[in-house]
Amino acid sequence: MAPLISLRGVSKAFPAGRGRVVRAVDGVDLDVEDGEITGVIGHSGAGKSTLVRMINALELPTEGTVTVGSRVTGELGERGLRELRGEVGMIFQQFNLFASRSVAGNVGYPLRIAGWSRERRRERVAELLEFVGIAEKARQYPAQLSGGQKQRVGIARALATSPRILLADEATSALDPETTKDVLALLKRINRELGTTIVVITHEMDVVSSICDTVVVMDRGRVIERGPVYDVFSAPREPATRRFVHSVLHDRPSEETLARLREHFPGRIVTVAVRDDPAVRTAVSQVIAGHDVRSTIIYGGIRELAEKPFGSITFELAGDDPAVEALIADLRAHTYVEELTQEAS
Amino acid sequence: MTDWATLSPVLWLSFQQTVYMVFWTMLIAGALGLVLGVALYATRRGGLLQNGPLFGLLNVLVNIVRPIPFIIFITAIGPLTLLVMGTTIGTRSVLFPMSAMATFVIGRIVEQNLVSVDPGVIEAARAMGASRFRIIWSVLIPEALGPLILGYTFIFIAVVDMSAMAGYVGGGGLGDFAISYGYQQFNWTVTLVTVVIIVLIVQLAQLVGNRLARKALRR
Repeated sequence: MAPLISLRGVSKAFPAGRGRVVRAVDGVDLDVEDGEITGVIGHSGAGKSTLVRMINALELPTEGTVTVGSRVTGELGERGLRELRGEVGMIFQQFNLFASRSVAGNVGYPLRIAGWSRERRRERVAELLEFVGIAEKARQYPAQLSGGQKQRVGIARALATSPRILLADEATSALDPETTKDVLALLKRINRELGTTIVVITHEMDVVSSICDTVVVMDRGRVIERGPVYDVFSAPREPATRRFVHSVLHDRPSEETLARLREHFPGRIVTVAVRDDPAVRTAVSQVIAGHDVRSTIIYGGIRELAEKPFGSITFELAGDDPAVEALIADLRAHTYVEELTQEAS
Repeated sequence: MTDWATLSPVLWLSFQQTVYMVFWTMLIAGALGLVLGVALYATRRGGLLQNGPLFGLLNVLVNIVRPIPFIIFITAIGPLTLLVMGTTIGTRSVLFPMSAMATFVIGRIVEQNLVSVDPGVIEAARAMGASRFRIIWSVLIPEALGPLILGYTFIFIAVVDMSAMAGYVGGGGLGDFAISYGYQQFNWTVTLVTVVIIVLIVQLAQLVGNRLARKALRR
């Protein structure tokens, strides 16, 4: 089956004054399958927002094609663009609710655009508010709601016309951890019960690890890695992905920590990735025990990702050079190993 | 002594003239100024109806007209007033310079209030597939309604002020009354009474404006 969203050679350049251009998105190929939750991660300025805004044609690509369902966004006229946008819901970090409209008015607005009758609108709004769990707030105004309630209104509004696709732009970044969890659970429920394809932009690892099936890593306008969440995070191929993963996991010592550790541990320091496969972990223990090298655990962090353990342990290896070398080589046969060398300076 | 028996019918007429001038100016310039303000907001770079040349033209026009002192504007625009209203004298003809000037002032105030609307809300409406004009009337203006009401209240007072200068071209009104029967006849009582009436009109307008704005804000 063809993917629901398909980007081919997509670039988006913005004029940056004095004839220069900034390529916010640079030559991206990407498919999003129907019914999946895809997470787009990357540091701020990586082009995530621009990429996602091309899916509902808030931005049109300067090169390449964006296909949503059977439509190519660049080929649509004003009316076609509006129809497409009506079929893709979107929620935002700052919620972007209409302060001048009540909760019911906000949720009913997209239905108004779609030309629903007053009677049908009222029924649908009640149903949606029930679904997101804020039925009793219908007559209140956004200013009277908490952040979590506001995002629920945002979600209900985005789902009003039963879109096949829901875009979430940092939708939980302004919420506290507890509320984030509730909103993520709601997104997951929308995906399961309504079959909505969801694309979330985030810089929060928790968002990706708790709800996403697929993750897309962006760096400087490019998609540098893409795959099932566990695979990408547990075995990042690209240095930028690795940096991102470690910056949120804190499973590896920072340079300052490493410098301090070196004062006590003069041997060679290696970080060993911990994966899901129990056989690998057993093998790692056996390899370490099987060499005449003294190993000391000096740092580490393991957590769960998609209900599987994942992280890394840092060892100091002290012994004869050939023995240490052999040990590292043996470890490499089983898992990802990286030696943390002293900085060149 | 002040001969109120003779003066009060004149004062009443002047009051009615002021109300007439202010009412029509607010109505005409209120509507045109809203259109101008929306046009200024929407045609600017990155706006809903981005149009550099049009924005530049409107912007320069507003900047040229607005700083002209109204008393000079009335005379400067005289030929145009004659063309449009058929005469340059009288309460009715002064509506032209008043409405023209107020349109430019209101345009700028409307533009400034619209700029303060959260762009995220506009984006949300765009993401729902709302047309540009729909966004303007069903999102932009309602979202800015509170500040807009305060802006119009502010303008109302400026228009009352403008109407006082209408006396110069035979427009009548309270300003003319205060000058003719107060200042020029050294009758401070008449001047004072007129001032009190104007202050009351302004106070009432401000009170109503504040109430409506608070209701519209709902925050």
